[in-house]
Amino acid sequence: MVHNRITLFRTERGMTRKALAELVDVNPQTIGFLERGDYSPSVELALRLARVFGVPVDVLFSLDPFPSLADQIGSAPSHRTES
Amino acid sequence: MHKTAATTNPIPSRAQLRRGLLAEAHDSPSMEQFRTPTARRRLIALHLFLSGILITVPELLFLWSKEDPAVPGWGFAAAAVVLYLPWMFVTGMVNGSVGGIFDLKTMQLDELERRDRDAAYRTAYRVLIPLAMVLCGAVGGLTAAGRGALAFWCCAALLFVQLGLPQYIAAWRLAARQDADAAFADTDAHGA
Repeated sequence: MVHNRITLFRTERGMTRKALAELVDVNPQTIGFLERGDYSPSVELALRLARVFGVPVDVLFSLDPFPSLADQIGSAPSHRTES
Repeated sequence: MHKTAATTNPIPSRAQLRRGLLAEAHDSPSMEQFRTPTARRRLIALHLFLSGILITVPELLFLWSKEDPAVPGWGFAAAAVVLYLPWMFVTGMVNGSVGGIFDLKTMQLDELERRDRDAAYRTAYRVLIPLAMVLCGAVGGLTAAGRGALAFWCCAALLFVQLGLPQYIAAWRLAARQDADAAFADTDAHGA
């Protein structure tokens, strides 16, 4: 199974599924199906999605589950300085 | 001559490919009413019902006209034509409910639509091949027993199942997927 962060990137950019579907030339339902992880896209579609979001394809897709944002934020080094 | 970096994308976009009467009809917002899970399931039921009526009523009228001279012999043909019109209309609606994946050219479909169409055909023919073998045996037996009308009914039923089954499978799967999608979209504020 291929895991993806399409929902995260799409919502972050305030895009609807329909808008994203038009940008990558697919049916809007295909985006929904991809987001749920029920469908693994072709290399071509994966590259087109990565290009729309302006990220490398491995940022958008992974063979391993992506860590949750909460875990990532929790493990990130703090930028605050102790006073 | 060796060509270097192309300046234009030679691959036409989906919008460019989906031009034409049929594709535009399937992309029309008015088709959305047939693309809800409930509408898809109701259309399958209606199409099955109409198919049953279409193959049975003319057959019965034909048999009746053989037994009763008062029943006109052309009655079965007239019934077939009258019943064919709503059947054809509902067939168009079922096709519309699946986004025209069985009507449109392959290049007009996206990769998931192509996969859905191919999967529907694959599943349908897995059912149809053994069914056709059984019905062929039945037709042979019925014809030998002098029951040609029933044998004809079996052939007509097989033809209509062959026509409808891939569409029913695709429509049913799309409806199930939509239900799952709706459940997923409950957590997605930006879902279209």
